[in-house]
Amino acid sequence: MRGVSLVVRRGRITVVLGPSGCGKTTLLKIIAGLVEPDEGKVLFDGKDYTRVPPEKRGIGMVFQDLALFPHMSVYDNVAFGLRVRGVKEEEVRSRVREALELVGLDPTMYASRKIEELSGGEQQRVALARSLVIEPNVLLLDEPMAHLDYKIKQRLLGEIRRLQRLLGITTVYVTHDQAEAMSIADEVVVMSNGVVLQHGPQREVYERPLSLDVASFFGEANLLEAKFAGIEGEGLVAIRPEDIEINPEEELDVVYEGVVEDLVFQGPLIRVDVRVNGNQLKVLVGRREFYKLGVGVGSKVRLGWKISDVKGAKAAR
Amino acid sequence: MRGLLRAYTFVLMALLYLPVAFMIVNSFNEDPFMEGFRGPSLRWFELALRDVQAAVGYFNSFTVALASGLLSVSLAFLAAYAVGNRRVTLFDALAYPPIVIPEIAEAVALFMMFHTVGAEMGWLTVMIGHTAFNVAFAYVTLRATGVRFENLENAARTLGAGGLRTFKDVVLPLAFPGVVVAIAITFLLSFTNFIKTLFTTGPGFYTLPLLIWNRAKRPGVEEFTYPNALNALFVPLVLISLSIAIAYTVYVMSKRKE
Repeated sequence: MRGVSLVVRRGRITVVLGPSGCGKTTLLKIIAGLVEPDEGKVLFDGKDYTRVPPEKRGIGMVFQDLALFPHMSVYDNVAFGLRVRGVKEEEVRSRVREALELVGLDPTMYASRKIEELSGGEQQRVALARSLVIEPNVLLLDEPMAHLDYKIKQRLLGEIRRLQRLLGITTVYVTHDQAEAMSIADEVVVMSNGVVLQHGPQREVYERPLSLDVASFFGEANLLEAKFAGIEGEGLVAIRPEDIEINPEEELDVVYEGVVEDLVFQGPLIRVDVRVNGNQLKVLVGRREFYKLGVGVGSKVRLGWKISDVKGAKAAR
Repeated sequence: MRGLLRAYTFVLMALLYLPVAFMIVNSFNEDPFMEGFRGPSLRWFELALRDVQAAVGYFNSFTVALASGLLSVSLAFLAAYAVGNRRVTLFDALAYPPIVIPEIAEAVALFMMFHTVGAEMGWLTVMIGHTAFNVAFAYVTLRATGVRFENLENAARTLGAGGLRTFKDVVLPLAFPGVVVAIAITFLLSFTNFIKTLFTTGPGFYTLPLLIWNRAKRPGVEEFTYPNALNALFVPLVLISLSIAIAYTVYVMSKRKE
């Protein structure tokens, strides 16, 4: 990692988004104290924690493989952090019970279960309960949904968000999946090759990406060659698929003609792939709107968009 | 075809157990030299019960094997822990020589070394000699069964456990089955070792294999050196080992069923 500087806002969910190997897990481990940075500092509330060992940082962490203790029951897994702190068994019992209830696991049913008997989603909840029961200052989540089915993932994301709002806990969530980032983030940090490309509120990063890379990591983007007024040579611009209109009725800044090559039904949205001057542009259209358009593969269409919707631009050298 | 394979397996097992069966049967043989069966008898077992030398041999073998097993597994555990999660390292190659070098070469080398430093040969030199190769076996075993659980250790740390607590509550319980296997292997290697013991022992100290060899060299010179007297000495060992093997298998089977 180079020159990564990150201020995480208290009580919000910050999602660190980037392709695998971009340094986001390392960043999380540095925050947790599991990896010592070669340079730089880690501050919690302005206090220097760079040399504080992980067990003294008061963090809760959910690992990519969950790292539940296979030789302990659900109860003992959740109780671990409390027992280590010397909490009395009686209090341990009530707090473990609360934590399990918080994540939607019935304590009487689950407490004595073995980890290996649980489904992926249940294990996920245990991991969450185990990290929340110690009432951490910061919750760190390292691709916790990587191995889950779509449906369970959506439900758990919703619950993590609900819990985070309920407890007001400062959360850093690392993922390479932009759909996860969309559904959970308050703030988004886009990383690539050990560098932070952009950091800001979720909507701002989506609407005003600072570069083409950000535009295509966070959301979809069509990259187009363009000539810029006043600049020699050609460059690239990005336009989001949903910002392109098919057969626009009003006058738009940019209008092209093309042929529909393919239609991909995505449920609420239809993706229309249009061939324009040798480039393929992806356009997203709402289902109802698509039926009104009445286009099919082979149809000739006009595509248009507003200049103000063009996202990033980069001049080729 | 399947019937043929089954018959083959059966014959193979029978051949494996033939010498042991021969030994057990003869330990009940009245004839001291195994020249035909001269009626059942318990005389060799009665003799064994009076055999003070054999008891000393058993005891010495046991204490050496136990000490060497525990010591070599402790040493190997630390090394395997330090090497960590990485699949294979050059360091692993360093662990093989004690396993692949012919034992006689190692035994002579140890003898020379002990001689040079003027060590008093006995229990301690035998135990150290056994540990010298047991460490390698323990290390290879522990590397295979695993002593590092990096993610789980990290999880324990973030939950507030210090290094020692993490080791005690997470690493040790998870590594335990491998540790038991490593202790069993090194214990047995040490208990049955002959060549190295021969070269590293001193006057007055002997283990069971040394005693047996000493007696087998001069059959019939005295009552204790009759072949069938030796057979009787081994019977308890065979029975104990077999019952441990069976108990272990039954234990594994019951675990599977769960």
